[in-house]
Parts: sequence; C-alpha cells; structure tokens
Amino acid sequence: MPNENWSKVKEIVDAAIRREPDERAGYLDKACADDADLRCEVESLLSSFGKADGFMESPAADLHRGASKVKLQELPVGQMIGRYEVVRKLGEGGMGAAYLANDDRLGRHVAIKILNKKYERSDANVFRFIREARAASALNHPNILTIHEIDEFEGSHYLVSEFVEGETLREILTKESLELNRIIDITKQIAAALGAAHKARIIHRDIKPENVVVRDDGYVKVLDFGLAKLLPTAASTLSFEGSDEKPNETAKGLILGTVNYMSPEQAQGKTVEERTDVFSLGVVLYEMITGRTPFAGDTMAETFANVINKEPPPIVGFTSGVPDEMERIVAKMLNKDPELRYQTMGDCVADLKNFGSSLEQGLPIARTSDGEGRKTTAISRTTGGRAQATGEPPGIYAKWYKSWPVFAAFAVLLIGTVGVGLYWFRPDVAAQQPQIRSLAVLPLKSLDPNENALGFGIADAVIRRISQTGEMTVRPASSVRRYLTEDIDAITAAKQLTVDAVLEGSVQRVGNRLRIGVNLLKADGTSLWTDSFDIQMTDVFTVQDTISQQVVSRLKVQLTAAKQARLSKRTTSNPVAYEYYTKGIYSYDQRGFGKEAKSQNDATIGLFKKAVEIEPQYALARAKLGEAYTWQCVFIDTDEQEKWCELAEEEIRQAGLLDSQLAETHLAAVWLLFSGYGGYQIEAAAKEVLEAQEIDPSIGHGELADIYIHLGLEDLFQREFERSLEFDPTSEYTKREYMISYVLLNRWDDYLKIKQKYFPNEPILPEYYLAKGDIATAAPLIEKRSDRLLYDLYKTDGKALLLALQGNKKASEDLIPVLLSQIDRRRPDYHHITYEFAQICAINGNVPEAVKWLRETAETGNPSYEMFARDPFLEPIRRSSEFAQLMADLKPQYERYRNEFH
Amino acid sequence: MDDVQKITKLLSSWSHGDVQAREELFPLVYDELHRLAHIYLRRERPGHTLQTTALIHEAYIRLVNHQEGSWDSRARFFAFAAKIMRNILVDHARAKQREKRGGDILKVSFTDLDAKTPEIDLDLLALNEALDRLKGIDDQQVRIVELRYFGGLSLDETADIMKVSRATVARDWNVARAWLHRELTR
Repeated sequence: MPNENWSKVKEIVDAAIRREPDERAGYLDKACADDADLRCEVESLLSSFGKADGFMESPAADLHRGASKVKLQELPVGQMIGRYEVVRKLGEGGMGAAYLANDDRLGRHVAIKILNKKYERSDANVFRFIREARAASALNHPNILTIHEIDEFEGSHYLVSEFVEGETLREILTKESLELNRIIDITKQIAAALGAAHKARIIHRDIKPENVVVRDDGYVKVLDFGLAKLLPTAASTLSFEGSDEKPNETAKGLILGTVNYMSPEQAQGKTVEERTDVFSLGVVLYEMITGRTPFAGDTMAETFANVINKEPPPIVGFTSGVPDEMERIVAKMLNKDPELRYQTMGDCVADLKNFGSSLEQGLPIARTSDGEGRKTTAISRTTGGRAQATGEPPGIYAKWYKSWPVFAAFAVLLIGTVGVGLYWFRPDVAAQQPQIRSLAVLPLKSLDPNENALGFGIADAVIRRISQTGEMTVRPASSVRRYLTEDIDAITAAKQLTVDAVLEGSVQRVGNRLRIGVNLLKADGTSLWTDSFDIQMTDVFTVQDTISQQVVSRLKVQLTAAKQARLSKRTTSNPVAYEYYTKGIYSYDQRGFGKEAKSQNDATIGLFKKAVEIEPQYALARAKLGEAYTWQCVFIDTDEQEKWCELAEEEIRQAGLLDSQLAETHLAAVWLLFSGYGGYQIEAAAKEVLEAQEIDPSIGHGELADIYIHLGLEDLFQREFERSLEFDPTSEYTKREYMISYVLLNRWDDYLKIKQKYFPNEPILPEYYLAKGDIATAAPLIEKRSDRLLYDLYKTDGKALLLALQGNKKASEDLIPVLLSQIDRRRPDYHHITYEFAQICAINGNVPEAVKWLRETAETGNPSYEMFARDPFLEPIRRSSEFAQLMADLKPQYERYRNEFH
Repeated sequence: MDDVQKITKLLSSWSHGDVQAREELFPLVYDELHRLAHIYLRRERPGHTLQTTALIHEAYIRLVNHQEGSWDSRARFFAFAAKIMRNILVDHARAKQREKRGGDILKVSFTDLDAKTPEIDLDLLALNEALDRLKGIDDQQVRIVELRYFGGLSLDETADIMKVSRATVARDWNVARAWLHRELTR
C-alpha cells in the first residue's frame, strides 16, 4: 500500500492537472497549506508532467513506430512535422496556420497548412475533407497548387503543398489596378485550373482573390481545393448578421469576404456544382476590372440579399474603355440562373481566349455565342479612387499563351489512349537518367480500407506485366503489400526495398468511376512521370496497360516484340470478375499454415471461385483458384486432402487449357505434384517452376530452393535463395526459409552463419548445441519447449533426440510412436519428422529401424541424398550394409537429378 | 494434460493464492507469447508490428479455455501477460544493448516542446529500474503502468481489470508518468 503522504501527493497533482494553469498556484496554496515538502514534491511532479507530453503514450511494443508527439499550437522554427522542418510561419487563415518548411530529403521548400481543430467538427467532416483534399491532390495541373501529402499530426490534419513564391491576387488588387490583358490572362489561368478540377468532379466552392497566388513570372496557382467544405455553411454564417466587422480583417471578416464571392445558389444553401465556380470567378473578374465586388453590401444580410436578387452594377459605371464583349462575358458568368451562365469552364475559357487574342491582334472578336466584337486594348477606371491603368502594348503575357498548345497536345495524346483527364510531366528529366535496374510498384493507396484490394490488385497487375518482360527486377507483390497499411512515403519505401525507382499512387472510387493517380520516382526523389486518370471501372485494364507501358518507357527499357506482347497481355476484360480476383489475391497474400489459417484460405477460395463463376474463361483466376486449393490441401486441411487436391487439379487443368502461357498455372501445380496426393513427383514439380520462370523470371525461386533441398541438390538451393533475395531483399519470409533450410539439412555451421546474418537477436536453436555435442547447453532449452511438433520449424521438440544422445535408447525410441500418432503422413513436414526418427535410431545404433525411417523419408518426398551421406548423426550406421544398400538404391535417381538440374 | 488445460488449471490455482502456480505459469505463457510474436513476423502480416493487445488477446484465446476461464481468471491473465510483456521487452532491450548496435528499435524519442529541450531517448532498461523503485512506493501504479504501457490496454480496460474506477486509473497513470519522466531525466 502506498503511504498516506504519497496518496495525498497523487490527489493534489491530479487535481492540479485538471485546473487551468493560472488557477494552479492558488489551488496549491490551499491544498498544500504550509507543508513545504509536499508543495515542493507536487510542483516537481507537475513540472515533469508538463514535459511528459507523449511520454509512454503508445504501448512499449509499438515503440519502433516511434512517432513523436507534440502539440500543434505555435510551431517553433526547427520543429519537425513528419519529415518537414519548420522554417517560418507564413500566415494564419480561416482554416489554420500555414508554415514554410524544408523537405530535406527532396531538398525543396514546402508549405504546410495545419487545420484548425475547430473545423474538425466530426469524423464525417474530417473524412470528407481528406477525401476531397486527396482527390484534389490527384489533380495535376500547372495552375493548381500541387498537394504533396495530407497527414495527421497529434490529432490535427495538415496539408503539405508546393511552396509558391508570389503574391495573392488580393495583395495585388490592394496595391495596383490591372491592365485588361493581364486580367484576362489571370482569369483564363484560374478558369483552366477550375476546368481541370471539374473534369475530375471537384468543385472549388471558394474562389476568391485570397485563394489565387500569382507568381512573379505571371503564373497563376489556385489554392485550397476542397477546403471550402469545412468552412461554415451559408446558414451558419447568417448568425453574424449585423456584425460591423470590416471585410477581410478577422475570422468573421473572412466569412464576410467569402459571402461576396458566393453564388446565389450557395447563399440559399442549394446544391453547389460546377457553375457555382463560374459565378465566383465572375465576381473575381468583376473585381479585377472595377476594383470592387458586384454585390457588396453594408451588412452581411444586405450582401446576401444582393447576391440573390440584385443585378450587378454595369462595369461601365466604374471603368471606362471596357469593351462590350468583356461586359457580356462578366454578365454571363454572373447570371443568377446557373442555366444561363457558361455551362463549363471550357466555354468560358474559349470566350476569354477569343477576346484576348482579338485584343492582342486588334481584330474583331470571334465568339462562341452572340455578341458584337469591339476592338480595345486598354481600360481605365472612372471611379474607385485608383490610378488609371494605361494602355501598355500587349504581348507581355503572350508567352503564357504559348505554353497552352503543349498541354493540349499531351491531353489529346492521352485522351486518344485512355480518356485521361490531366497530364503533366517534364520531358527534360526523363532525358538524362542513368540506368535503372530495379523497381518497386507500391499498392495504390485508398482512403477507404475496403478498396485496399483494388489498389493492391492494380499494383499486382503492373508488377506482373513488367516483371514478365524480364528486363527489370521488380519487387514482388508480397513485399510491397505492407505499404498499403504502413504510413511510409515512397522514397523511404524505395530505400527499404533497395530499388532504383518506385511507382506510387492512389485510387478512389466514385460510383462506377475510378480516379487513379500515379507517380514514378527515382530513389533520390526525382519525379520521372506523374499522371492521373479518371476512368470507368471497365477501363481499369487499359489503365494498367498504360501505366506499365509508361513505366517501361520512362525507365528506358528496350523490349522485343514478344516481350512487348507480354507487357500488354490482358488476363480478363470483365471488371466484376477482376474485382473478385483482386480481392482474392489480396486475401491469398495473407495465407498461413495449419488449421488456424483455414478460414482465411476458405475466404480466398470463395473470392477466386466468384471470379471464375462470373467469367469462366478467366485463366488467371482459375490458376489462382487452383493454387489456393493446392495450398488448402497441402498446408492447411490435410484431413480432407483428397477433396481439395482434386479441385485443385481440375482448376489447374482448366487454366492450362485456356492459356498455356501463364506462369501462375505452372506455379499452382508445384505443391500439388510435390504432395503425397501427387505421389511426391518432385522432379515434375521442379520442372513446373522452371517453366513458370521461362514466362516470369522473377517468380518461384523460393519454391525451387525448397525443391532442390528435397532433391539433395544442396549447391543449387543456395543459388535459388540468393536469387530470391535479389528480387526481394526485404523478405523476412525468404530469409527465414533460408535459415530453416540449413536446419532441415542439418548443416549447423551454415545455419549459424545465416542466423547471425539475418536474425542476430534470435536465440540459437538447441539442436545446434546437440549437433556440436554440447548437450548440457541444449538440454534445458529443449526441456522448456512445450509443443511436441514445432510446426514453424518442421521439426519435433527434440526431446527424443536429446534422450538418444544422453544414451537413453529405450525412452527415446518409445517417443517415436507417440510423435507418429500426432503427425499425419500427408502433412508437408512428415518427411522431416521421419528423418529425425532415423537420426534417433542411428544414434542408438538401431540399424534396421534407422534405415527403415530413411527409406520412409526418401519415399515421402525427401530423398536428400547428400544429407544422408553427410549428417554426423547417421555416422553409427554408415558402415552397415543396409545403409550402403539404401544409398546404392538412391544413387541413380540422385545422379539423374544432378544431370537434369545442373 | 495438454498445455491449455494446464494453463487453465494453473490460473485457477493461482487465483486461489497458489504462488507456485504463478512460477509454473510463467514459462508457459512466455513461450506462447514468444511463439505468437514469432508467427506474427513469420507470416509477414501487414505492419510487422507487434500489436500488443492483439497478441495478448490471441494468447489468451489460445491458452485459456473459454468455458472454464472465469472473468476473474481473464483479468488475472491480462495482468500476468502484461507483466510478461514487460519481461520480454526488457530482455529484448537488454540483448540489444549488449550488441551495441541497432539498439534503436526499442528506444523511443519524444520531444518536449514546451521546454524546448532536445529529444530524449526512452531507455527501456532505465524505465524498468525506475518501475522497480516505484513499486516500493505504490504497487498499484506499477500494475497500471504494466497494463497500459506493456499490455497496451486502454484506460477503461485497465480500470475493469484492476477493479477500480476509470478516474483512479487516469490519476495513477498521469502521476506515474510524471514520476517516471522525472526519474528518467534526472
């Protein structure tokens, strides 16, 4: 029990923590009265508590996730947010504070905007915000501020975007009046950004001069897509009615400012759509020309009323020399009835463009709709207290027009192939890259975990296609799967996977459409290719083609016609069947061993079956279904082996008939042939792997290594494991299999080497000590084991072996029937257990029994000739005629294997 | 008698005050937790992280028979498993320290923003020793720290198992964290 004093300390500290900091001293005065020691201890603990933010807050075992926790209030210079280092504060807006930060890894400046907590009113709100911002981040347009990432830090969401040096349109408007050419140029750039967003079904909702940044070179960037949804709605802003705040001064003012740019439908709380942005842009255009907003009232209520009911005052009332065409365009944008506005940003841009070029060339204006052309080059304001704009010759901004045909050309190119929304890349980067040999394709991330299978499936398809060309080492799907759920950026992933290049991406489903964004990066962070697609689900295969083709061409891989054909080979054209297939491979990738893994594998089988039911011609789905059945019969449900194996055989046969050139079909047959059901056809199994590798050189190396072990071809198995690790250097699974292989082969020095190399922290297996004759060390370790069969090691607990080595012949051999009763002959580890029986009998000098178990081992799929010849535990029987006969019987077969596979 | 029955029986004896049962339980539960941790890695589950609570829940389901395991033995099991997790992780940290390389895995850094101090590494071994000292002052706090920090349990779950109020757990947890932080930064 704690002493009384400590209880008191705890109570006071706890009560003080719950009080506001400025009330604490007063409370402590009372609570501690004049006990100075108590007061001292309490204050010391309170001070520690103040510093203990984040301390021990996540469970100890999760320590290596190691995210530091800090409160996001005012961030000091040098503060790290994720991998970004704060340089300085840029400003505070309605949504929260923005900071300039350094991205050291990519050596660039970024802007970080931290959302004010009050906007995170509900989970739904936050989710919607992230969804919108993510969607906006998939927008790749030169006039849209690029969002690099959205993340959460200490409960607040933040957005990382490109940092643009320039002034907001608001800042520009407060200090100068703009020339008409420039106004048109800026408006066109904003409209182009919005048009691109609208194509991706994203509405800005909050177009105003504060959200437009003009770079020093005239380039326009539109900010804050999708963020407007978080701002208070029209209804809630009405509560500020009567406020006498000046526009754009305070948070309330921000709302007021926003009301000025609202469309009538927004002000009335009606549905917001693309034409809402047309209206708001009209207000901005009007303001650029006249220096005032068209509906501004003295109070917010008046502004609302004006937006809804009042026609904007004619521009000519404020500014002279504005062509009628300009007036017409503005009026059309500001029409109260959305039906009478420009219906798309494209229409609006077309009119602005015609108007702009007529201004430049001094020609009559060509228009998309009715109206009269006028020839004017400058405007001048008559009211508003501003300096008059002068008629500088046009052409200063002409360079910006010139870039447009370039984008248009790319857009046409891509629409030709896949109906792409947007496209943007820098050709100069692609031209000067060194050779790239290895690639990781990360699963496409989605906000909705239910879509993980889709993102994984698309990555899997791209991985299959590219690795089948044999020209590039592509990390297998199993090694990149974890990036779906782990929050690791692409560059770090590239480093972890030790690849030269990495493809990352995102996928969102909206109805039956998919939005896919991809980004191909070199490991140093250089972007090689960025693209986004807004497609029907049915076009998902085309997109897989396009992505694979683009990656290969960006990485300068030369392909022969045959390899080109492999790259673009389609496995199905049915999107529904495909979805079941992707869910199937996602589920199959999580398979395990033994009965406890059955429900997972049942689910996998169900998914592949669904895919095959929907499209019976789907060879790949049939092959994978066959593989899942095989897994079930060999590694999971040996009790019903026959049933599962028959199903597997049939599916594999069907898949082979439908498509003889599928690596997966060959691979699916491997364990089936190797199993007891398949009659331990090890050679045939090996040949299947080799055929699979003919088609896809990246696969099957682990399987082949395992087969070589059982064939007794020990020099070959090492080579296969090394190859397997070349394709996937991060695979814990392969490394462990590699280590266990030496255990199964009783090559203990090699075991120790591999263990120390890959698993230096794991204890040494007691069998190692047994083999080294150190029984004293091994014995207590073996005694401690509680499972008789160590499924994960393909061994027994070693007690019988220990007894034999301790000279306890009877007790050790008595354990054999006990163990045997627990292991089904059909289990895949059976022949390793029988080999242990042989070792035990050999140690005991029981020649007939030892040889009997060796024969059983060889006959049940493990004729490991080289091990039989080498294992020191077999030494006591090695000179017997029975053993010699066994080896003589096995030799021809062994030599055949050697000739065949060397 | 298989392991599951054995563990159930030992838990029951232990809950009736048999200290020897506790000693016998330890290696069984330790092995099982270790084995599960191993399987988690081997299967290459997404994340590769030891999710403490999941691990202990799974160990519980595997080790303790549902029908026989009363609420009381469940609570005891969790308390026990949390203590074992502490041992596993501290052992691990110790092994890491011996190696003197790659020792970052079981250290966490936290930033003390208010005081603008540089990052401090949480040393599990030092924490372990500090907890032993805290035990001399307040055993209940140590048990709460074990459940929360090593067992990965929430405040509510901890309150449930300790049979005290949530407020008590919150108070003891906060004060223990302050006390431990002070010990570790002395």
